[in-house]
Amino acid sequence: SEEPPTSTVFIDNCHFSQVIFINMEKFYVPGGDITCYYTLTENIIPRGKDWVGIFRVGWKTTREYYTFMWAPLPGDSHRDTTVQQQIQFKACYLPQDDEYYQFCYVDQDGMVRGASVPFQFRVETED
Amino acid sequence: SYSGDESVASHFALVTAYEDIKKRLKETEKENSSLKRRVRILEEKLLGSRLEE
Repeated sequence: SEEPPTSTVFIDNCHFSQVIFINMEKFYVPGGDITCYYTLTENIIPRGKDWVGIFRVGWKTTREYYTFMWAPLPGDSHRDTTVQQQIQFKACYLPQDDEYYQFCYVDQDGMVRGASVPFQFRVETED
Repeated sequence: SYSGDESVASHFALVTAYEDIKKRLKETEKENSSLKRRVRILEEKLLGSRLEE
């Protein structure tokens, strides 16, 4: 039987998963500060101008960040081992709507190294 | 150079979001149907107790 035309070009997902966002919430309380937790895998060498942005889901270029924070450099211990980091985003810089957003880690060359699951700024309705 | 990779990156980020929202939708639908079942049981109970009066 005839096979459909395909291509061996594949998206190297590992490249985009060098930073893993952890302890993600589905909802963050509007008007509150939020803490972003992530793990730097051993595959990434973090640099001084790396940053973490909050992006609306469906973004096309990294210039579309809603807000950002510089990513703190880990201590000397980060070498051939994973290290956990955290960044606090102040409430006044956060979106006010209930759109879906995600964190993305962007390195100083503008390359995305990790993206989180989405979250919203609203109170979780639990009846 | 990384030029051209940005669309791949944005696609990857969107897939990450899509997969998770799809999972949540599935969970919500499951919860919804279990809530419907509970409502039905409670309705039958209520109707039964009214008939007894």
